[in-house]
Amino acid sequence: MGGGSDSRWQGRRMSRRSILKGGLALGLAATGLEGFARPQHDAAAGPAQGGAFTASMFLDPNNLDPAGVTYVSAVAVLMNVVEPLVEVDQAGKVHPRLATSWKLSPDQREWTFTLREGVAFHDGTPFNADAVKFSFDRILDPATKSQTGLSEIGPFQSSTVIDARTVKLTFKEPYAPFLFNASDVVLGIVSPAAVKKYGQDFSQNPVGTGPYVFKDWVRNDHVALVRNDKYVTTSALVAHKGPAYLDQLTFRIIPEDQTRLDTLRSGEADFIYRIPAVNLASVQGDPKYRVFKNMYAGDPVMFLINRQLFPTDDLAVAQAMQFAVDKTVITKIGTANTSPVAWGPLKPVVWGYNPAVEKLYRHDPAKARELLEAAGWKVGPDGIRVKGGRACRMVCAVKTDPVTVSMLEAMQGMFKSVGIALEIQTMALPASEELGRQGKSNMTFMEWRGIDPDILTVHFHSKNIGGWNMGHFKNAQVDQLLDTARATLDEQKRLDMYHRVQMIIMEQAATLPLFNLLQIDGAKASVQGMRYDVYHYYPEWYDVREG
Amino acid sequence: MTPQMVQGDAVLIGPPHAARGLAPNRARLFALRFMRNRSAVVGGIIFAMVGLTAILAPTLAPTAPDAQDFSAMLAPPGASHPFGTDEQGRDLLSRVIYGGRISLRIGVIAVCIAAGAGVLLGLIAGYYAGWVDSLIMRWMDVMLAFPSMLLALAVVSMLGSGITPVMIAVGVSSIPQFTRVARGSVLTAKETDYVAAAHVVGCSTARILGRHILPNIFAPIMVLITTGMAAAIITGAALSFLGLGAQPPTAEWGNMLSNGRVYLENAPWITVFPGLAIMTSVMAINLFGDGLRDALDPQLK
Repeated sequence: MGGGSDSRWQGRRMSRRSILKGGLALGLAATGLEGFARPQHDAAAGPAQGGAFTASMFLDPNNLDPAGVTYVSAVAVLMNVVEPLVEVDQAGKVHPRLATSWKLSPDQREWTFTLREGVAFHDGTPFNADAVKFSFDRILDPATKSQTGLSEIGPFQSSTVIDARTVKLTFKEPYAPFLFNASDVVLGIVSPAAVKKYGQDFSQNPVGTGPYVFKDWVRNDHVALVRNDKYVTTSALVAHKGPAYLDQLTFRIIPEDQTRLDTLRSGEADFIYRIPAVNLASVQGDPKYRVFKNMYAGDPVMFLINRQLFPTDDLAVAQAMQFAVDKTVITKIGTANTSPVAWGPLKPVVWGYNPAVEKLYRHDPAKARELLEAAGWKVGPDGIRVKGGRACRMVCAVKTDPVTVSMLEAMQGMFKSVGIALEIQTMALPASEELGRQGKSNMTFMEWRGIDPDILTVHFHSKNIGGWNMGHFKNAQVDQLLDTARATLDEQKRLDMYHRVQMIIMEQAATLPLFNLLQIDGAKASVQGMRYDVYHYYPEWYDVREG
Repeated sequence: MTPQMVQGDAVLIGPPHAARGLAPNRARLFALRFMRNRSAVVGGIIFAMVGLTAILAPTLAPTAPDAQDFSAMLAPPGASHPFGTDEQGRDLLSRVIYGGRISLRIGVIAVCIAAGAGVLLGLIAGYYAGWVDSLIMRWMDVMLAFPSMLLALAVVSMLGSGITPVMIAVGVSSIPQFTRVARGSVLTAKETDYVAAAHVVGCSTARILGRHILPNIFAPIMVLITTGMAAAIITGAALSFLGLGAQPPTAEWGNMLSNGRVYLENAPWITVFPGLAIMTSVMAINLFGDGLRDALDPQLK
């Protein structure tokens, strides 16, 4: 899809305050989003159970162990199978889920959770403090191969069972994003007995406490879940109590956009994840369907700019790129104008977003030429600028995706008009990311989900060079601000630090933000009870039924 | 193509040294037969036009193939853009014209690689026979065991993406067909009296292969070259469609199809015109090739 918000995902941290306070409300109002709607209570008498729904998914989940999750598609499935300790509402307030209450120690390093009683895992194992300790400790175990989970628990050190209903989680230092992260299914609680039984195969046999039980998964074909008839409602934000309505829920895996859309049109699917933006108008205009649009929190679709690789190691070049690009054109190509353009390294729905970044750059090719000229880049015979005998030629290794490549081709033309040559090298996604990690690509496509501004650490902290800091950005002040902010629980102080970080990143032109992508899903008009969770951006299927 | 056909050809046309004086007759005979085949003539004319259009692209195309006009994105076919524009406002007529250069170049060069290497290997295998023949032909059998698309993909994954690797990939994957046809023809030709005579008068092996045998296997190879070129254009376009061929912003029919598929519903012209271009060229080449075969090998029918 536009910009290829494909695959990977990670580090969603959030802050409830964020969402609620500024962010979401703003984003919603500004973009006219729907779909954050509250659960519908349109049936006075309890609706009957029954029905089997099919949802068409854009990507194989790859790994269904919550701690081992690498792709967003796994989260979309697991949200229905596994439950986290807490939950965040639309306003950014934290609610109980598997934990009924929690408190933070005075030194801000220990979180003590009181757990819900009477809950059991799908395999009959009782839910208790041992299960919580087990689920958190295993994230640190290298054998679990956790990436997302590991990044979400941050400086987590150890856990202690105080009694069957009480567990204490200890951190090496105060860690502001934790409570929000604890609402993610990636930090969800799994059955210790099942993990021991399946071993490495737990990634294909997830067992949690959620409203649906994992049934089977055929790679690149489908994942099937069935109703958990013994489900005990743990969420305060849902529309009914007791077991879910649907007998079965099948996620069909259909990466090809048009084919996936066709499953909705043909009636094979009741719901599809990600309607291709170019086809949105035709779906939206049809009363047979409902469309859900959400600006999920995280990074905008952007290209990280490598500030250590020639010629983008020159600030003038990196800044000229910002002025050269007409983002309205890129947004039209990338999203058919369904998403707003972006100016900073965070989406406006993220708490801590600094609107001041919007003033730094604008589409102004003349200004780009002026900057390059002033920095000594003179136009050569072929129109490409030259400085010190070297031509201003850069490369972008990118996955073979028609929309992403098309966006780059448009930028290629825009850069050329100011004297910068861009070579586009298309390849498979993992290969392009590897070149990004090695610092061999001047521009690297990036998109990330996360509600807490701490996701800036992932792409802009120098400790992640060789990892997801694919722009190889190294700035001592940014490193220090990010480290301090993550350990600061005072909201105002934290906010100020993230505001400064965003300004430095954009002044240094370490990324070229393009647009704030919306997640656009579609369902048959008859589908009722679709609930979008602020954290996960995907619908929860607990309240869903045929209308 | 079986040895019998070639033998028929040889009998009809006569051995090359004897035939040299009769060349005008032979050519007239061929031309007569070819011209009688209407579809072959039409195919030949279309193919010639496609080739000319590609060669004269800078003169014929209204704009440069990568000239963007962001005020005319996804414009339908009309007066200012006969084939419409793509999502970057690039004129599709110009891109289709320029795209032909790449597609035809892939076809021509790939076939040259395949015919050059294939015929040489076939001559050697057929003439020397014995273990040389076994070695070469078993190797060809191994290559033939892979579908040519798979073989081409393997070559591209070794050489990397781009137009040159695609030419090599498509060429290499069609070598076995040429080798087999050439070998079969050589096996027949080397039993003929004129080859025996050449031996007797003391001609060198190279001379016998080059002057006496090669001209006599020319007909089947020509036919294979035309059909092979059509296949090469399709395989080349398929590789570009998969993102392994021409890199952006180069216009190439296969990658134009690939980029346009996103807009199939909203802007079908992005895919229709390059698709038609591939279809027309391949059909024209095939018709021409069929006519050529019929004219060169009347007994085949």
